[in-house]
Amino acid sequence: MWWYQIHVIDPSKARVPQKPILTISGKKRKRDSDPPQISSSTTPRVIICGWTPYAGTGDVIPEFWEYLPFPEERMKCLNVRQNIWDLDQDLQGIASMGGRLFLLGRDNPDVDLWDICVEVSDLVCGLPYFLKRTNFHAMRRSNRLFGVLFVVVVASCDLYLAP
Amino acid sequence: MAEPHGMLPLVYQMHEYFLNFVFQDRLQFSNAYDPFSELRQKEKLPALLHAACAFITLNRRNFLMIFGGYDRAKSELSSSLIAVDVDCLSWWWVRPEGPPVISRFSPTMVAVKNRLYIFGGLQDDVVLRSYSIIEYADGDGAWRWIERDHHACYPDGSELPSEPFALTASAVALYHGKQVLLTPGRKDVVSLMEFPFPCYTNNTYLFYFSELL
Repeated sequence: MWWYQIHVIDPSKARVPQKPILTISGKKRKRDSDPPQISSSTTPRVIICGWTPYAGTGDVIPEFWEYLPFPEERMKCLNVRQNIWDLDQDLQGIASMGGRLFLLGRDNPDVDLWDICVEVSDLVCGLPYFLKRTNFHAMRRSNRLFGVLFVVVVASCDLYLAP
Repeated sequence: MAEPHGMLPLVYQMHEYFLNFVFQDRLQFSNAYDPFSELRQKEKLPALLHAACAFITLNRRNFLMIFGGYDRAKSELSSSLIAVDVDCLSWWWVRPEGPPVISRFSPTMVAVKNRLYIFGGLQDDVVLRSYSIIEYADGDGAWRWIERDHHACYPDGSELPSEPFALTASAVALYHGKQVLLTPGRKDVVSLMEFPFPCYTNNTYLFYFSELL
């Protein structure tokens, strides 16, 4: 694994998934199942997002693990890397807000900034996933999310030693 | 898809660009300790590499706290604490009472209520197996160190491994801050992390910090 980030989804803050219509690259997908009930468990979910090599390529791709801390002490791989690979997006960071998870990346290779985000909340929850792309300009209108982006960028840099 | 071999310059570019042209330019320096002082509008948020960041909410106001890191402008490690008001887009240096803690890069920091818990980090390639706690006192508006570079060990006094305090280690608060989960970092820069692969299914490299709050 090249790098990872961890986030906690507190059951009390977990978001009940909505029924969005997703749009990416002109394709539309609709969720075809009802949103599930949120677990009544009080154990927080620790979501680990790690960037791992994708076999047969020189690329790395995010994979998710779910860790249920003490007293359950269980960890499992969510095996969603192929779904993320199929998105064909350059996603290198992750942020969480209010129980929602967003992968952050670049749409324009000429711009050295995260300029897209993809919500993966439902994907990580094991549901039919949807994508909600947002450009960076729109995200900057939210100071809080702006701050989250800052953290993510800094956290991403934590991979490497100071020069 | 991300290409690992080209990642280093890419991420650095992102970092530099973001700090210098986006985040820094939108923040106004504020001398919170001397509001009558001369305005220093050109004072910019330092570009700190490998600093620890955490959101904290105090009196219904949201702040991004930044600690440590490598200050490229000064070519030195930092032990400073910076507060960024993400609602008002201003920042200032926090001046805790007492002597500073050890300067470092790649520490981890977790906010719990009015406290910041700082774990590990590196100084001169040495992993700091320690933690510090700083607390905001609402009464007088001061930040005080509750613990300062306190050596971290098992409850029986035996030594902990360095991984939970090492480069790129991470930490999150659980159960409303009653526990902090520490996850491992890299042994060195070049080796890949094995976490959380099957060899860690017994979670031997996951640690819980509890201060018995």
